[in-house]
This record gives sequence, C-alpha cells and structure tokens, in this order.
Amino acid sequence: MNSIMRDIGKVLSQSIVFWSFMVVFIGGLGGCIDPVEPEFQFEEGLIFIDGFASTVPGASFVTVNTSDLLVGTYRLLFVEDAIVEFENIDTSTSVALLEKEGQYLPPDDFAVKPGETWRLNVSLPDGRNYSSAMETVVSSVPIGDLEAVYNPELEFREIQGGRFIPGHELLVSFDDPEGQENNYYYFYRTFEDLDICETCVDGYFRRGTCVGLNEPGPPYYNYVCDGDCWRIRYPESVSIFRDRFSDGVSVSKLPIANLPLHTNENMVVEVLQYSINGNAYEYFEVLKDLVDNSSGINAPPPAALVGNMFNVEDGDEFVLGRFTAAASSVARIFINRRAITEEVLEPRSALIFEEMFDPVPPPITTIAPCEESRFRTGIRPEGWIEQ
Amino acid sequence: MYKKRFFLIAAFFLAAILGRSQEYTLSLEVLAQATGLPLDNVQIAIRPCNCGGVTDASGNFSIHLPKNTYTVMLSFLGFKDEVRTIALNGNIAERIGLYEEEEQLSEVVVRAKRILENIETPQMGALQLTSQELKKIPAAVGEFDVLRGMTLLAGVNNAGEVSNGISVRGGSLDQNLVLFDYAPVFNPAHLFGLFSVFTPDAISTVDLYRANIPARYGGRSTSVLDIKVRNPYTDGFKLSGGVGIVSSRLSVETPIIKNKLFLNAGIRAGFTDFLLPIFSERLENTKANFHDGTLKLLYLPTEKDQVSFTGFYSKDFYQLDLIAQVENINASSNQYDFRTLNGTLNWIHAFDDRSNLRNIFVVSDYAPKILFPETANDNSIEFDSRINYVSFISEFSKEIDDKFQYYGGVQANRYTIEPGSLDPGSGNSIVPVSLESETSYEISSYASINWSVTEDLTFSAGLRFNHFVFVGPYTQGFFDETTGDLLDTRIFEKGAGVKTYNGLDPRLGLNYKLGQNLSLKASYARLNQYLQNIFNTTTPLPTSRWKTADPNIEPQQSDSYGLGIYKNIEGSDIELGLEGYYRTSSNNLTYKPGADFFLEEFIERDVVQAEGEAYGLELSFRKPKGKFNGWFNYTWSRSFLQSFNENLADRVNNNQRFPSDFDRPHVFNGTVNFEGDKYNTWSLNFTLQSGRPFTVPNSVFPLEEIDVPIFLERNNSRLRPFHRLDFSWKIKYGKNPNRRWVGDWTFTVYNVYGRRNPLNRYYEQRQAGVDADIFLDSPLGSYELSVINSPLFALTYNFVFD
Repeated sequence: MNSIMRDIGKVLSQSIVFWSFMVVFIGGLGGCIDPVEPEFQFEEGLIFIDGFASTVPGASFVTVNTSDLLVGTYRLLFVEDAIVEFENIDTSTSVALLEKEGQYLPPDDFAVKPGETWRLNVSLPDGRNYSSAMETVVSSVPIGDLEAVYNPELEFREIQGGRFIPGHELLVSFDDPEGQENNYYYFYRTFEDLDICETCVDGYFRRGTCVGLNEPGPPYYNYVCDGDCWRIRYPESVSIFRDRFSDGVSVSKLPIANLPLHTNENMVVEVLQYSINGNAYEYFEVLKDLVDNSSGINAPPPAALVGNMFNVEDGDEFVLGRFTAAASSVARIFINRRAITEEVLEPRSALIFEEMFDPVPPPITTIAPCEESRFRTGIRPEGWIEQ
Repeated sequence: MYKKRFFLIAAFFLAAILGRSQEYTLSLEVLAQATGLPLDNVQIAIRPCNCGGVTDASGNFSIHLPKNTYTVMLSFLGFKDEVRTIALNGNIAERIGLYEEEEQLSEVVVRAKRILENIETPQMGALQLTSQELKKIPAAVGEFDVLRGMTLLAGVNNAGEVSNGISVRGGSLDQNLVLFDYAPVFNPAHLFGLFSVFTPDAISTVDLYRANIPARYGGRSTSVLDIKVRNPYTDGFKLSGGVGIVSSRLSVETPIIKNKLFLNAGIRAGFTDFLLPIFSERLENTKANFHDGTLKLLYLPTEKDQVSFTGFYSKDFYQLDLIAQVENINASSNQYDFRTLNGTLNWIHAFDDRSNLRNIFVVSDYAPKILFPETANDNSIEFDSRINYVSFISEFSKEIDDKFQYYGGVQANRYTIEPGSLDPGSGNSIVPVSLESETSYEISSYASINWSVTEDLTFSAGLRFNHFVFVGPYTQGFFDETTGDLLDTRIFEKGAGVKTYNGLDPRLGLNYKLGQNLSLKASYARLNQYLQNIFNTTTPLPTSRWKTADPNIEPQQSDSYGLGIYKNIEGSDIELGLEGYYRTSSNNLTYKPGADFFLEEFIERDVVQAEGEAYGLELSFRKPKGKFNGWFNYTWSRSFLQSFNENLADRVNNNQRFPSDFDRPHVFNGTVNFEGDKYNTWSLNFTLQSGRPFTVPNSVFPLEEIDVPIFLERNNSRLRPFHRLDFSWKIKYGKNPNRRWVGDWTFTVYNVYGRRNPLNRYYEQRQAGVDADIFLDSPLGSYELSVINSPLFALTYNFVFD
C-alpha cells in the first residue's frame, strides 16, 4: 500500500509539471482563420434582376445586370435600354420604370399598398423576356421599441490578427400579429456626424476633385465639410425573422444588427422593418446563409440565389435576384458615442490643412462640399439631436 | 606410502583441474516472443546447481557450468514461465522467446471465454484494430480515439479535424452503423467531433465491415463499425486510469462473486474548458465539458450459460461561436447539451462446443438538447429531441465441422423518434412547439453459411430479409410539385400502418487461396438503410435530426462489389493487399438549397434523394510484429452524387453529377511503431490526402451594399491537400517486475509541423484595407478555417494496478 501511496504522491508532484505543460501547449486548438487568395469560376452572361416595390414613395427600384468577362477580368454590366414595368395584377395596369444612374426607377410618387398584387416584367434589348411570380404586399407591423446596447466586445473579427471589436447591438421589440405567418426583413442606415468631407492623398482639393502635387509636400490634406454633413452606412449582414415560434407574442429585444464602432461620432440609426411573404423570407434565408453563415463549422453548402424571376421563354435559365413588394415600418434612434473610450476601427490621422507656403496653388482651401450621394447627405436625418 | 599419498593428491588436483577444464558456457538471450524485443531482469533459476541470475538490459545472461544436464527456469512478470532442459556438453547459446502471460483464469472462466471467442470471431472482410493497436496511435491532445484511429485504415475517412463520425469508401457519415456492444451509437463524438465517445479503457476490439458485411448486420448502406467492450474474464482486481490534458479516466475490473459475477467499469471526464480563454481570445465564449462511462457485468450462472449487461453513458455540453445560431429564436447564445444512454443484455447458451444460441436485448437512447438563454431575461428556452431504439436479436450458430459453419437469426427493431419540441420555460417570447413523434418497426431474419469447399476455396453466403413498417400517428403531406406548397394532409391514427418497405439483402464472399501465401477474395453486398441523419452541412451537429423512411423518403440502398488480392510474405510477417470496389447507391440524401430542418414538420419538402456512385482501389502494407511494426496504405477513389429536381431553384448542381463531400481521390496513411526496448515505444503517423471538395462562386452580385457570392455549382473545386504528421513516445518506468502499480507516460505531438489543414473555405465582405495584398481586386475576401493551427503537445500519465 505504501508503494501505491508513493506512486500517487509522485503523480501529484508530477502533475505540477503536467499542468504547466498543458498551459504552454494546448493553444493550437483555438482554431484559425487565414485569408487566402479568392478563387472564382466566373461565368459570363448570367442575368441578375433585383426589384423592389415599396409602400414608401421614392424607395422602389429595379436593377438589371449581366455578368461579363473582359480579358479575364470579371465585371457586372448594367443592362441599358431594357423595358421594365411593374404590373398591378388587380387592376391590370402597368407602371413603366425609367433608366437613371444604373437603376430603373418608377415615378417619384409611386408606392404600392398592402393587399395589392404586383409583378415585375423586364424585356432586354436582345429580345429576352423575364417576369416575376406575383407578389402580394403584406401589411407592415409597427416597431414598438428600438434600442442600441453598447458592448466593448461586440463581435470577433479577423482584423489585426483577430480580436473582439466594440460597438452597439441594435435590438427591436414589436408585437407579432396573431394567427398569420409573419416574416420580417430588416434594413437600416446609420447617419454619422461627418466633419472632414475630403482627404486628398499626395494632392490637394480644387474644383470638386483631388489634384496631384507636383512637388514634395505633406502626405495628405484634409478639408472640413462646408456645412452639416452625415456619413451614411448600410448593413454588412442580412437580418431576417420569421414568427414560426413566436406567433402572436411580443418579440422583445430581438438583435437585428451589430454596429461596429467605426468612429466615436454621434449617429442616428434608421431601421426599416419590412413585412415579406414566405417565399421572400426563404430567398433572404439563402442570402443570409451565403453572406453570414458560411464561415462556421456547420456551414450549409452554398446555394444558387434564385428568387422568383424567370425567363418567359426558357425555364432552364438561371435568373438571379428577386422581385419583392413589401410594406415597412420605420424607427429611429440617436446614439451618443462621444464618451466611448474604446479604440475605434477607423482612427483619424492627424489633421493637415493647407497653409501658407505649402506647394498648393492659391487660394488656400480648407473646406469641401458635402455632396449628396448614397453614402453622404447634408440633410439633417430625422431623429438627430444636436449635442 | 608417501609416494602413494602424493600421487592421490596429485590425481585429485589433476581431476579437479581437468574437471574445471570441462566447464562450458551457457549463454541465453531472452526476448519477448511477440515483439522480438529483449527482456531484462528476467529471473533465471538453474538446477541442479541451484544457481542462476537475471538478464541484462540486452536480455543476455551467461554462466559457466560443468558438463551436465540442467533444468533452466525463466520467469518474468507478465510472461509465461519457460522451462528448458539443456544438456551442457559444450558451449551453448540459446535464444529463448517468452510468451506474454494470459491471465491465470479458472477453468469456468476459460471455458466461457472460449465460447465467446468462437462466436465473436470476426468474419471474412473485416478490418480489425485491437485496443493495443489503437493505443499506439498518436492522438490529438493525447486522447485515445477509436474513430480517428479508424481513419488511418484504407478507405476510411472523415469530414476533417472535426467530424461527427467516419466516412467509409466515400459514403456519408450516417451510412455507417456504429455499434458499441451491439447498441447503436447515434452521436459518436465529443467536443464538436474532436474525439470519439467510447470510454477508452473499456474497448476490446474494433471491427470494420465494409465489403463482405455479415448477414447479421443490417440497416446502414455503407459499413458496420462493431466496437466490443472488454469482457471482464478476470480472477483478480485491476485498476487502471490516466490523467490527460483534456480528460482524465479511471477503470476497474474485478470479480464480484468468484467464478460467477464479474465487473468492468470505466469513466472518463473532461472539464478543462475554463482554461480555453487563456489560449485564444476567440475561445472566450466557448464552453466544452463532457464525460462518459461504460459498465459491463458478466454473470456465469452455469457452465453453458453466460449473461452480460453493458451500459454506456455519454454526456456533452458545449457552446461555440464557430457554430451558426438557430434562426428565429431570440437568444444570446446556443448551448448544445446531449447525452447517450445505451444498454445491452446478452445471454449466450452453449448447447455443446459447436453450437450456441445467443439472445440480445438492446436499448439505445440519444437525447440532444439546445438551450437558448434569452436576451431580455434570465430564462432559457429549451429544444428537446430524442431517438429511442429498442432491439431484440436471437441467433443460433453452429459449426458442423471445420469446413462448414452457419448461423441464422431474427432481429426486431423499434425506432421511436421525437423530432423536437420547444419549451419556452418561464418566458413568453415563444409559443410551445411539439412535433409528433414517429414510430417504425424493422423486422429482419437472416442466415449465413461459411463453407470451406476445398482446402483452397472458402465461400460465404448470407441473406437478410427486412420488413420495415412506418406507423402512425402521422400526418402525411401532399405538395405542389412545382411550388412545394402543402396541398393536403392525411392523418394516420396511432399504430396504423403508414408505409411498408421490404428489402432483401444478399451477401456473398469468396476466398480462394492461390498457394500458401496468396489469396484472392471477392465480395458482394446489398444493404438497405431505413434510418438516416438529416443535415445540410458537411458534418452533422449533435442535434441534427434523425428520420426513418416514410411515404416520402424512401430507404437508401447500396450494391457493393469488391475484389482483392492478398499476400503474406513468408518469414517477414508482412501482409500486402490490393482491393478494388465499386458501389452504386440510390436514395442518398441531398437537400434543396436553403433547407432548414429545425422543428420543420414536413422535412420531405427539402429532401432530394440522389443516386450515388463510388469506386476505388486500396493498396495496403502491414507489418504487425517486430521492433518496427505498423502499416501503410494508399487509396485511389472517387465518390459522386447526382440528384434530379424539376424546379430550377431547388436543383443541386443543376441536376449534374458532382463529387460528394467525401470524395478524396488520393489518400496515403502510414503508421510506424518502433518498440526499441520494453521501456520505450515511439510511434509516427503520417496522413496525406486530397483536399475536401468545396464550392467556389461563379459570380458576385451586389445587393444593396452587400456583395453576394453566386454559386450555381456544387463542389467545383478542392481545398488544399490535407497532411499531418503525429508523434508519440510512450515511456514505461519501474524496473521492479513484482510491483503491482505500473505507470507510463505518453508524450504526444499531434500535427508535428503545425500544418493548418483547412476545414472550410468561405467568402466574406471585404473590410477596408484588411488583407488587401491577398485579396487584390477581388470583390470578396476569402478565408480558410482550420481547427488546429499548430502542433498540439500532450502529456498523459497512465497507470495500471493489479
């Protein structure tokens, strides 16, 4: 028995060595994500039709694109001169969409109404005709509450060797209508206070554009916005919800987006809660799998993003994209981020302004306009609070 | 007188001198017969000189003795005593091999053991690994692993470093019947598929049937992995265990009533997940605990009867950020909690030395859960599911003579599947959901003969008939073929027959000896599979749903043909084999794009049954004995699937044939053990294989501000080749042969050169400035996920006390 006790004693003393050993060496099991050169097998001539008919005037659009390989370089080309129309099945009337800046747009006052049934028809200049399945607009469900909760460890990202990044988690609450299938698709925009409207690297700003320096000078110049300006950001992931397990209940604090701390400027978040039909939900579910769920150890196999569009003459042609007619409700929240101390994802470099004797032509310029675009606006967003 | 006395004294000394000059040297070299390794400290007793000694580190011993006839007795702990009579009439050098000692068992126990061995000897076509062989294989973080060990054999593979099972000859993970003492194990893996669940110290042998599958087995379309629990035929107490990085274990083997009742029990537990955040920030939210236990009781009521009970329990709990969350449940995380509880009651009655009746009653119960802690409060929503399997087998076997044996039996199985329920707990954010449980029965009868037609020709033939019935309660859905919409339902009452399938599985095997050491084997097997695991991923989650055949999902069926030539090289114990196979299969499960089976009532809407084809050539080299032992194998193989679907959006690979997830054209495995002396064993294991097929995009489409990869094909590219070198060094210590506590240390390096073998490659949105030098002008970023990213060092202490 003594010999057993001796052996046990020996094991215990050796266990100190053992645990030290373990602490040093088990690290390899942590999993690892490495960037690799992306591989593609591009196909030419694929057709992409993405259409949206909204209950909000000015929010409806259709894009028609085709894939192309030019000297081995893949590109997506906007198909011009197509005949595009929204067809109201109930009234047998059509609304023509006109080409504008890479989109086909209906008249500014166009809006669909809940209960209406619509179809998208597209005729390409080469004679191919595409139609969608019929879409009935589902009534929207109002957002009860919108919250943004700050989390210094919001999510793990593969930046700087992999780390948790800070940011806000966006949560919605609403009452799901009872006795009917409800499917939700979330879209949001963030309006972030912007004070530097232009940065010219190795150059200076004149007449609305950056001009290269002819002689050595500062690495860049910054230009302050000439008035109020907001930077607009869009979702980086797909957010959907189906009331399969929550029919008729109050859905509380449903996470719909992570808003990383790109800067610590204040911002307004505008959330649109679309009510979509079951077929649209399944389409966005595939989209979510492709965009958000492809990285885990239980990633589903990739699937073709085929929606409800089809070639009228050739049922075997893959038509990518979808026509969706939907109603939405909207909610906004103002987030004050000035007091956050965590490191931002887009730290601002030291400001450099044009000064006398710099190698730039006069007059000294320090401002730039806040040009309206999808990513910038000078119009104060609803919900903005001046601090 | 003086002269006479002087002469006598002189004669005496002369005789003594002459006698001395007649001494000879007896040299002995003592080796272990099985391994050929020298044994030191072997005790040697010689009569009539009553002299002796011990062997040195090289196993040598020598002594000078007068000419005579001696009895030399050699004894060494763990080996049988050896007694030799040596007539020493010159210098003699002898090499003596000692045989490892089998336990000194009583006659009752020896007889019981022999009966069981007769019954359980694997049939032709089985690949076998013993627990000793498995223990030599270097294992990840020192965890002895049955499934990972099997992947080193020809034709056996898995989904990668994490895999909830094995793939045999290109089949999917659920096409293998995994039996642990006759009880099916529905989830054979701990820790997301890193280790298998089988309690290490309880395992006796592992047999893999993949070609000539015996008729007594049925129910899966590719292979049978038959893991046997060690029978506690013992006359003494034995305690063994180990302390490892991930888990620690303890087992005991002892008679409870002498010659009547015996016990073998083992447990293993791993609770070291609290250390994970130290190693990687990514693992901060990871939880991973597991334990398992195996108990076997053996009762010998009469000389001709033995009754055994095997119980097996396995439990896991984990939470991992690398697993995508379940949709539509508002929760802060998904926590997986699953347990297996199996029991096997086995009664063997021997009528005589050549005929037996065996009755087996099996219950397998697998209950996976997911816990969803709610975001808004402390409540947890709970998803529960369950599969319960009850089986009764009665089999008679008889050995007519050495040339003809047969067996026949019946098997009745009941499958009860609870596909899932959702319990809101104390919260009110969801409504309770409960899917109807599904019940089905499988009644089989089978018979098989094994006939040595001539000295050179052995023939085995078996036939298994299966009658499968799916019964109510059941709600059958009828769907629009184009849209998939539910058109109508038909309700079946409890117990009402819903769907019946009958299947006839012929099994044939032929072994023809072409000379002393060369043989040719051919086989054919048809298998029907009535139970499958539904998962639309490479490897299933523990909660992936089980589904029996029903009116909409037809049984899977395969036809396998095999032909092989095998040669034993005389004198060197080397076994060579070349085996080819061809398998067609029908009704394999593939899934429509975007399929989601979580609590789905009509899963058949998302299931597409596919035709499969697999073929390959396996070359193997095996040297089971000697200082250097081990095996090499190379496999060339292909595995394809093809499904057909009218609806364009639901097609997989546009209805064209595509490589299955388990298609690996080239696989090389090598395992070498060097048993230099009895204290040290070094093992190396190397595997090299083609990467897993994966899918690369055919286009990229911007949707709002998100670049979406567009996939029109399936598995149109391949991950980088997979290769890995593992090393282990087992050190036994303690030179005292009489000590009862024997310990050893095993030092393992898994993935010696730190290869990052990709488990998956995926595409993501690019982030400004991140990895721009790698992604260049690509619209999307691309990343490889590897589970093990550096060498894994492990130190395990093992002990045996008896």
